[in-house]
Amino acid sequence: MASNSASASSLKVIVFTIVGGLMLFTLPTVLLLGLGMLPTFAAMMVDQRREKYTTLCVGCMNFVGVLPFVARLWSEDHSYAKAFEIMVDPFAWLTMLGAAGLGWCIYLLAPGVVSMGIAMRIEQRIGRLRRRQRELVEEWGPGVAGALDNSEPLDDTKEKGRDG
Amino acid sequence: MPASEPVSGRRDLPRMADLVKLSDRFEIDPAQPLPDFDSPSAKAYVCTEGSGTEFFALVCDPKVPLRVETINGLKGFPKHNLMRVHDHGVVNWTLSGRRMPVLILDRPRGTRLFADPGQAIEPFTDEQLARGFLTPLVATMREMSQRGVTHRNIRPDNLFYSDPARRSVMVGECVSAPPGLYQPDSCESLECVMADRTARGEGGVLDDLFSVGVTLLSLLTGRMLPEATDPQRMIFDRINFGSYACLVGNTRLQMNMVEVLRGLLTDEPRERWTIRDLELWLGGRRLTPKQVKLPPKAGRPLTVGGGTYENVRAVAHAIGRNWNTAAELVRGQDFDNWLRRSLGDENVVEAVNKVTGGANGIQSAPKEEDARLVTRVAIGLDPSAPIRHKGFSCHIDGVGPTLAMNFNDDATRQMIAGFIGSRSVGPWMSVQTRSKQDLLELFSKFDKLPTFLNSTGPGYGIERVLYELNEDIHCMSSMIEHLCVTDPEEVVPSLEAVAQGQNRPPIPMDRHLAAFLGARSSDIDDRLLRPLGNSSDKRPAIDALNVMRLLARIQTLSRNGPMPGLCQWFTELMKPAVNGFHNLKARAAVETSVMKASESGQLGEILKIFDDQRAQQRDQQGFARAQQEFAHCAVQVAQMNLDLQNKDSLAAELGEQAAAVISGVVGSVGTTAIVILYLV
Repeated sequence: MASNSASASSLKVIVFTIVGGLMLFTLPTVLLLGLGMLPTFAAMMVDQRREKYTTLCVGCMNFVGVLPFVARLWSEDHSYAKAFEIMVDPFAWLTMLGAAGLGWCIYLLAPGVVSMGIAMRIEQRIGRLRRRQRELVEEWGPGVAGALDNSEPLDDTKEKGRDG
Repeated sequence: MPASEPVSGRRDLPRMADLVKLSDRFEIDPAQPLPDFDSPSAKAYVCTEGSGTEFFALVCDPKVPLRVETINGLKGFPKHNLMRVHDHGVVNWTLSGRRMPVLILDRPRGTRLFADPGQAIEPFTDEQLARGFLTPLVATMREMSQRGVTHRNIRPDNLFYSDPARRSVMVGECVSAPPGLYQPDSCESLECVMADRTARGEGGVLDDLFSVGVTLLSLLTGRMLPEATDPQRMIFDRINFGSYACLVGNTRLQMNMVEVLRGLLTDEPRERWTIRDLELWLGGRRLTPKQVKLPPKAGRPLTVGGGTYENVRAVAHAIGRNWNTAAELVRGQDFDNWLRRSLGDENVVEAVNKVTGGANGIQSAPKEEDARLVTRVAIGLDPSAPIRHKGFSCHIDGVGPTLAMNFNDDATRQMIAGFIGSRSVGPWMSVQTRSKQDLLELFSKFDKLPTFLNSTGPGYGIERVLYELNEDIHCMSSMIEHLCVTDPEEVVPSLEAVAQGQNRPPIPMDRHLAAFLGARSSDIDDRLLRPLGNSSDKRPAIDALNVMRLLARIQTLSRNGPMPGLCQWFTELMKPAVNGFHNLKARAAVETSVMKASESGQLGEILKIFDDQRAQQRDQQGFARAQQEFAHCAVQVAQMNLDLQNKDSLAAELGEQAAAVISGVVGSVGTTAIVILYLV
């Protein structure tokens, strides 16, 4: 057990050393990413859930918004001047923040859409069950409902509407 | 009793002036009564037939049972001076608005001798008596004796002149009422008069001869004997002093008449004149009149119920009349001493021991069987007397008519139920010196009665006893009583008539009808009758189904054609059973089948439909499965409704996951596209 935690700690040290080394050699990129991904950091701050869905949603889209400018930095001139040039460009900000906003939109709209889907599926199944109950009543008479006879009235038009 | 007219559904009785036909031969005119020929329970009407022979019709009271066995026994009776029955049946009778039993009889050409009991007539001479009365009467009685039937209705006011010149006398009818019912006490032998009036029984030729003696006395004196003011006192007097002394009294008679009267009015049956003795007397034999033999007196009298009695018959009769206090007496030492020492008749002691089991049997009899003990002691003391049980005094062949005439009386029903329950007939049979075949048949019948009586369901009980003991009475069911149904084959047409009438009862069956069918039809047994009273079966319309099963059997056996009204009635009664089919398609199919079967008029066809147990079972099983499925669907619907209410929380979780996936996919695709774009 003790050896496991020791090796995990040493792995962390190695990873931090490598990442820190890389960041040291790519500071303009770090600067661009650091500023461009601010909406993601904000989303991470407000995301209380363990699964971090908000962060994931916003982060993915935000990264797609920042990536073209990082690529431009690398392909044209990997320097602070170029980084600052990109960062003073409003279009760049519009792209990066817009992409993050799209992430937020996906995050906020998805539950509503899913809810509608679930409701539709459940109502379809209820419709099928009610249709079966109606068939049973037509075949065996109202007595087949027994004590459940007063459960819910079987409204034909409603059911048909539901069944589509 | 053969029904001359078919049972008609509608009460299409003839108009007042219409003639009523019997057997398509006799025409009875309800507009022409013949009150001179009335019987106590029957009214006489003019009756004509093509041949010109003179008849009259007796329209009988349906409440009084006819002696059908006697009618059959007298069929083809030669023309002696007896009012013969030429035909009998049931007709629709306008005046009563119902069907009535009718007898077609010889119409006397003369009048009744005694039009009323107080009337005096010219006393008959010896010649008139011998030639005009006794000679034809003896021939009649011999013929009857050979046929094994008794008249039991010979009395002065049942005599008619058979010719207008009044030369000869004929005896009136004897079949419109139970034997001896309307006989004055004076005309009955002691054995018969000690019984209740309705329970005097068929008796024997010796009882008829006693009645001949009393009738002879009336013809000699020209007046009927007056009825005793105290009948029981008269019975005890006749026991103690002899019937001859009590009935003849101080009447002055010629010596030859004293001989015949002493011979006929002797109380001891073995010493009573027989038909042969009467024939010899008519042939001119003359003997010194025998002194009437009185019953031997005991050494000392015995006190029973406050009275003192000196001979065994009087004691037996007194015990029977004081049954509620007599048990204490017969258990006492005094009675035992009287029986064994004072009476001094070994035969009586032996008979009492036989029926009671001796002194030990009497002492060990439980208190609650006091009535039975008293009955048995009375039987042992006087075996030829009627059986006396709790105040009911009867000859065993008189129990049936008693029940038939008083069936609606609770007390009589209980009395007869008690009599049957006492099982007194066996002990009575064991001390009879004579053994007649019909008595043996009756005994075997009585042996079965307690079983019927103890069963309470329809088809059993006191109603069954009624029909077992009266083989010829009509069915007393309130539905068809007015139709006078005497044959099981007429039951279904009668019910068809009821079905087509206005006032249908709830179901075409009642206790009387079930008992009637059980008693009269050998094909109707326990398997058909027991279910009628089975209240544990709760299937819908099960009562109607059981009744239909019984009536379908009768209809099949009697083959009396389609009965659409009755079928329609059952179709309505069976509706709950049709509705008992849960499957609506099956129900509709059954309904159609029932309607079709109903149109055929055959109950059996309807029965087949409801007797298909497998179809009902299939329906039940299918229904149970359908109920389960319905309930399962309902549970699922409820669960889904719950899910519908909670869909937002479910959608929130799923939505976030979906959003993450979508973003991830879009991000990956976007990243890949950008990388490719910059690398190319």
